[in-house]
Amino acid sequence: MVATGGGLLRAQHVSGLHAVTRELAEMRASLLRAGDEARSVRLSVLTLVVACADRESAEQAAQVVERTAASHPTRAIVLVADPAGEPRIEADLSLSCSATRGEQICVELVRLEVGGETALHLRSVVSPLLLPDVPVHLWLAGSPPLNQALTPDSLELCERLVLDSDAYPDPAATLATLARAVRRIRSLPAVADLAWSRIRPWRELVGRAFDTPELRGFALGIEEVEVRCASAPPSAEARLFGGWITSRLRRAGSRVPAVTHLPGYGSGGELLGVTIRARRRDRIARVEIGGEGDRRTTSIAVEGGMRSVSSTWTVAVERPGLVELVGAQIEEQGGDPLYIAALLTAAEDPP
Amino acid sequence: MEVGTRAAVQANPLREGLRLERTPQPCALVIFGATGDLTKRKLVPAVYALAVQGLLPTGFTVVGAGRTPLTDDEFRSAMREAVERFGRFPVTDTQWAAFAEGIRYACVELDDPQGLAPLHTVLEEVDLERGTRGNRVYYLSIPPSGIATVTRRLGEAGMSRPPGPDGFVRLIVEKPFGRDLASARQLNEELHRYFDEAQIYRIDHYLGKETVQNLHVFRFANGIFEPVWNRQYIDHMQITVAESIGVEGRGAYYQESGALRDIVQNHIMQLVALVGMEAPANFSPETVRDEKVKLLRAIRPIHPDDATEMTVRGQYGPGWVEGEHVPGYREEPGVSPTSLRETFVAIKLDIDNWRWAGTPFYLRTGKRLPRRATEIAIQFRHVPHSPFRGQVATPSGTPAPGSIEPNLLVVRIQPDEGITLRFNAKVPGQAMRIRTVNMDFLYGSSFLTQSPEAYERLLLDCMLGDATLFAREDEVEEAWRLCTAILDGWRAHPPRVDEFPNYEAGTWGPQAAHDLLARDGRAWRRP
Repeated sequence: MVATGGGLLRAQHVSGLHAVTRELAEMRASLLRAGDEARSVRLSVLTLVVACADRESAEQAAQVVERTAASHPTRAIVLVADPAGEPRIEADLSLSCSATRGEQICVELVRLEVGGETALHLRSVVSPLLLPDVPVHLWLAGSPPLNQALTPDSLELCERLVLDSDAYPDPAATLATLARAVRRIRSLPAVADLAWSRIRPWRELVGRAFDTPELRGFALGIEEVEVRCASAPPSAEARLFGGWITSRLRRAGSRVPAVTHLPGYGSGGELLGVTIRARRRDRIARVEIGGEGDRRTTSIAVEGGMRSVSSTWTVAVERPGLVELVGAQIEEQGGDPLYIAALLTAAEDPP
Repeated sequence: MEVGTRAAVQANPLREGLRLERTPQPCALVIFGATGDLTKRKLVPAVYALAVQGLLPTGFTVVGAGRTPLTDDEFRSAMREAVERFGRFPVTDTQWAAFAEGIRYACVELDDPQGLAPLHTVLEEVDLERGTRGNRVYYLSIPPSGIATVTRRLGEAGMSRPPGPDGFVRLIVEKPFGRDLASARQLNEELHRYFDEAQIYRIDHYLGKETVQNLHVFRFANGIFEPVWNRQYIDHMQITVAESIGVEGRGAYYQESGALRDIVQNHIMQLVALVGMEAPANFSPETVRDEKVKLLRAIRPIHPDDATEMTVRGQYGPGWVEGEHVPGYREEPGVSPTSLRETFVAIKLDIDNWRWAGTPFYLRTGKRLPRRATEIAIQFRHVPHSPFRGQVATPSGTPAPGSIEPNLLVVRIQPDEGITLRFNAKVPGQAMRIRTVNMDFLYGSSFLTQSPEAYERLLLDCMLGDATLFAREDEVEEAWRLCTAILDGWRAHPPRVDEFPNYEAGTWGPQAAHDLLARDGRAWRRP
């Protein structure tokens, strides 16, 4: 173990699981010994197990962990498994602390490479490294095979499964796999989908539009929804958005709207715009949300009846980066029933 | 009429599960006293923070109202400066531009019966341009003497009535709510001439603090505390609101108010109510406030003749606080050199109900104490018998060698918000030595997100029509009933001029405060 100054302890090329656990314990102990009365040391509030597809995504995940750590003290185990490789367990360990408001916030990062047959029994490798009592989140960074992650062996480990359904090449198949898991695996942990987190601002904008006095009562009369996203076939974001609207309206007992997906220009699978048509008695409302960069403009127009009204407003919306998305997920506990409903609806009726 | 959350979600199922299950209706927030300190330091920064978090309705507008003639742009740039200096979010040009569109200013003259006309005009323009539909929140950030005038002017101008069954006009009133029971009642009567009680939001920013709200959660969302939260297990309560600062140039104001009016009547009585109340059946405004009032009514009245027995007055002299030498209260600007005004109060309260009979609540507050701390300490009873040889169970809080101290639960409101449980543990070694250790929960380290400012929460609640965290008329009057009796007793038995100052700045108050507890075999803890 090497103390590198600036609140950082590091140990590299630690070989074997016993050596890894011993080294981790030693790091903690030396930190607590060095701690003074004035500054309380804050250790992890959860264990984050990161399953990575390859070294490159492990590198990226480690960077995200280091950046979220400032506000989420974590023990992170970043794992690359290579069943076809040489049999080995090798780890690079680091314990780094930063001071905020008279406290030291510490993150323990375990970068673990597992090769050979052991790579097929990752639970046995990860279990001894978990912190007692605190929750375990399993983050599938990049796109490690979903079928492997959705086995009882790995699911029993964790309380929460964090993934990005848009990270996989075929969003429709990914959502279908997830939906199948939700239906079939009784002990499935809470699923946190970063694609779902990314459409949250859109849900806010739509929810809010139908809260305006002009559109009060129209939400239950939504007939048509057009979703534009930056990919064809439609991304998981776009499908989840459609699934969300449909599932909410169905639950409220109103008719199921027709959801159409249109392609547009942009990066990744991000949502570009939404158009909604709703009817209330003899009046028809049209809600259009779109915009560029960090600005979204909502326009509403109501026609028919006594008089026509229209209005437009713009708000600033930031598209969160991976650090913010993962950071927000680490903070949450439990699942989101709205997501499950949106997922099941999106998967049952692929566009 | 307020629409319940469930009904709102039924009408708009797309709202469910989002951060706020209701968006406030578009409205105008009119701040009287717009050029004042509170507007700059707290109100506009809070509104900006709400805007950045996307929690405000579209069309939301801030209308500053004040005597100083200002243009909209002058007011906007003053507010931008204030937000940059006091806000918790950095100001970006894009966000400010959108926010500033919703800032207006109106010059008002309260002495003139027609003096609100410019405000009326601005509000009509705002309704037309920004769709606020006559919905208003009036924030009275003005000295108490002006409150009656503003409400009368609003009432006479027809500006106190809601625009229709779905709209609202609400009034936020800052403390002090009167200076004794009679004036509080008179103020309430004046407010009620033009506003219904449901329209009035009496703000006590303590109630908007996260840790104060957490008291409800701590008590009523945990199964293990409530069973011991009573006279059977609790020996006594100590509530401390300690300030290290002096009167900070507000000598003239303080000369009129004093610690009892400034802190006890509002903040401390609210804490007493929250820590002592029964569990409410639900978290609706009336249910919660009914329970608080029930507790306040159960406090045994202090007869004016007993006031000197049950309370202690203090005033600080010169001394050293936080490494600096500071003058005494009588040397502060605006303060008479023979002033008898109290800067420290300690009170013993008895609560006559089944839960608390025989468990006193000791309250204290003061200026120029050694450190800033607001805490509620729940001192449990000692163990009935010590099985450990040489280790005696001590009655309460007076640690001695070979003693087993009772458990203590401390709820820290500020600073370092958190909860500490003190319990006994064996000191490692051959002998049976017992020592207390602390188990700490630090609010800031379990939740590393920034807590919202109290004013953000309270302003938003008011726009949503949720009065849970605001003081109701009867709460204010019950608190005044107790404090007025004490004031009457003090007036009948004034201290001699040479009795004050009776504590040195930088100490925990006068000897009499320690004696108040020592008489009962107890001692103040050091926060």
